[in-house]
Amino acid sequence: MRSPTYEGPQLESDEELMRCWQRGRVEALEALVVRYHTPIYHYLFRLTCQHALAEDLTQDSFERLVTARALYDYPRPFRPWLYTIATNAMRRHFETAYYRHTLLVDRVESCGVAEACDTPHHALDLSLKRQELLDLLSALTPAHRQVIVLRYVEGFALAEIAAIVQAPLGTVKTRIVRALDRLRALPSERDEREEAAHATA
Amino acid sequence: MRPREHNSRDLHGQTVLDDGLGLPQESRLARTMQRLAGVEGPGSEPDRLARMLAAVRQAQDVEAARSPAPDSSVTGHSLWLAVQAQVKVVRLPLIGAAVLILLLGIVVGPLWLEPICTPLLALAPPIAVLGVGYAFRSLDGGMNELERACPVRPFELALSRLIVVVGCDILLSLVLLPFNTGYALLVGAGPGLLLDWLAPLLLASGVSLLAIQRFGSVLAVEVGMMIWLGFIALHVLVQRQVVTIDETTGIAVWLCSILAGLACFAAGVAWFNRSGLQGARA
Amino acid sequence: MSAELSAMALARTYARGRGLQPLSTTFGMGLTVIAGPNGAGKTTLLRMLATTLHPGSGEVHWCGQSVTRDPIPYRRVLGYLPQAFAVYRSWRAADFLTYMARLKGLSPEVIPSRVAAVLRSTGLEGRQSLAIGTAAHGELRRLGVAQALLAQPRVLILDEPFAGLAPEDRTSLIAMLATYARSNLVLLSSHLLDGLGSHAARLLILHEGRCLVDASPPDLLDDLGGHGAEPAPPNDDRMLEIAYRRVLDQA
Repeated sequence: MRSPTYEGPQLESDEELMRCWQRGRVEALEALVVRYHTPIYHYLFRLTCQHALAEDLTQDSFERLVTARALYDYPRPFRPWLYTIATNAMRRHFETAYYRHTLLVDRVESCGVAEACDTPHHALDLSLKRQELLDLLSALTPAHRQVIVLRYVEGFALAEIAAIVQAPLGTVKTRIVRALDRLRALPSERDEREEAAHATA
Repeated sequence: MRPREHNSRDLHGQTVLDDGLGLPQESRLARTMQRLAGVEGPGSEPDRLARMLAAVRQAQDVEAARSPAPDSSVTGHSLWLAVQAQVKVVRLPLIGAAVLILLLGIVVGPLWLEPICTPLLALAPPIAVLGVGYAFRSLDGGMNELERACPVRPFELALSRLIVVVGCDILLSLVLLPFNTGYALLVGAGPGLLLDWLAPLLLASGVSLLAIQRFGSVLAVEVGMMIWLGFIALHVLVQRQVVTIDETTGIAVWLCSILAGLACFAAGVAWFNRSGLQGARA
Repeated sequence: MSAELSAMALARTYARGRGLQPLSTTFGMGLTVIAGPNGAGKTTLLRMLATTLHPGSGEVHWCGQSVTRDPIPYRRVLGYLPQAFAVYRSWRAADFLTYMARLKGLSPEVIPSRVAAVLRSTGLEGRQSLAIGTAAHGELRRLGVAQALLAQPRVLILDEPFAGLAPEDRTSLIAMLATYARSNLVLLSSHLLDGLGSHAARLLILHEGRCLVDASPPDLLDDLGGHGAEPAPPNDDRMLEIAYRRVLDQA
């Protein structure tokens, strides 16, 4: 049985690894999985706030990467392309009429919290942070959630975000502006700004 | 066309930079964004990595094991279904009309057609040419688009139409052959009679099948009729001894015509199949 | 691999410059509407997805398998209505549907019941003897939808299925397709969005061969400020039509 940890090429760029994989080097694909399985999982978790679903969608994304191997054109930037695959995987999951208006679940996912924490305080801290995340993100529509996370957490440029979410650049900017406006309107955010204003007064 | 970039500008009156939005909201929500970036999902990273690697390895095995595209070989069942479908295209009344015309020819032929030519030579080829023109008349139409989206291989479609049209005509002619009073099989004139009508039938309708895919049904039928008239003319000239062809040469000419006709059919079916599999390329 | 239809860098360019620029997207279960003006590339896209038009570049995949190389297995689960639709004028509705059923591989025993069922679904119940040569345009269009449903396809592709239909026929056909889309993949093109907003899970707006928008109707309304800060109700067809026109105007 092969070891789950891979010690392969560390210095090759993502694009070079893709090209190597297209030429038949399987270890190049595994190196990409090692690099990106965590960022993609966290990206999907921030959008869905469901651990199990985020893991399933992460797996789905990498499986789609395997089938889409022939479509990669070197030296096209690999990272935005992979995030596009992940975004489409998530979109397809929520695409039926039933899910179209589904917002985030309003309870914190409890599975996995205890195993990931060292102390009860750590667990409480994590669950509070996740609750904050839920409060923040549940105020946004799925489309707004995507652009906020891609912009301010993943650090993509606006043009890259437009390609990932498959919307015009103007639409992306509009979504970001509206999302920021809604976040500002949240009570928790207004309280924070007032506290900050008092502190500096 | 470059997408417009003034949406944010119009809404908020802010200067829009090339990539940044330059909005005051961004700085005010900086702490929020920091918190957002700090929250990550639970779960064990080594376990997740192991799961992902196992998944991509399995996906690669599935990709590698994908069977190649199946051969475009004829399956008897689907060809039979296609033949049944084509009976609807070449409607039974048309086939009935062909039977009646050939019977009429056999009855009145000895009175009017002989000694110009045999009734079968006069009647069988044009019926086959008209049948090809009728069966394949929809090649550029909306029906063709519908047929292309069906799970029937194009050459099965072409074969099924040819079976109904030309096959029916050949069968009818063979059945009616013994009733031709002038050329009964029993007196040993069978092979010559067969060549007499089979050669023009196959060549004329085969060329029509090729022509209909390039030039349409009207021109294809005209070309087929001209070939048939050419055979009639040659037959009359030989009968009246204007042109002399010994028996061996005659058989060779007729056999070459039959082979050429079959080759035209094969090419026509291949062309039909190629255009159908690849879809429209215009 | 789940039942999905994927366009992978699908493109086609015609001599006069029109066609479809490379498009990569995946369609899943549910109703997807492809909208856009004439010449936007809707028919080109749908014909390539239905494998009746060979792509200039790219591929179409169904359940992970390329259908561009071998379309026959995919066509067994496909139902397709082209925009340019013609039937032999001497036929009747039953003749046409029986012919298509045989080409789709249905066994002769089930054809009569399937013919009756699809005629019922499309509002032509009992009209087996409808003469094609004298049928109204709307009746022919519904007959075209009926033939697409014969083999109970998992993928239903309809190019302008509502063209020429009376409003009440359009409404009932939309309702039928929305029900069908609950468990199947339905792709249809329309230059009018009236009545589709509340049923479509996804809307693609094409213009001059490019995909301008790929979003759900509520997201489209929200992006263009249909109702201010709150998401617009999904069944606000009038607002959706306005949003659609605004997208085209801004293109």
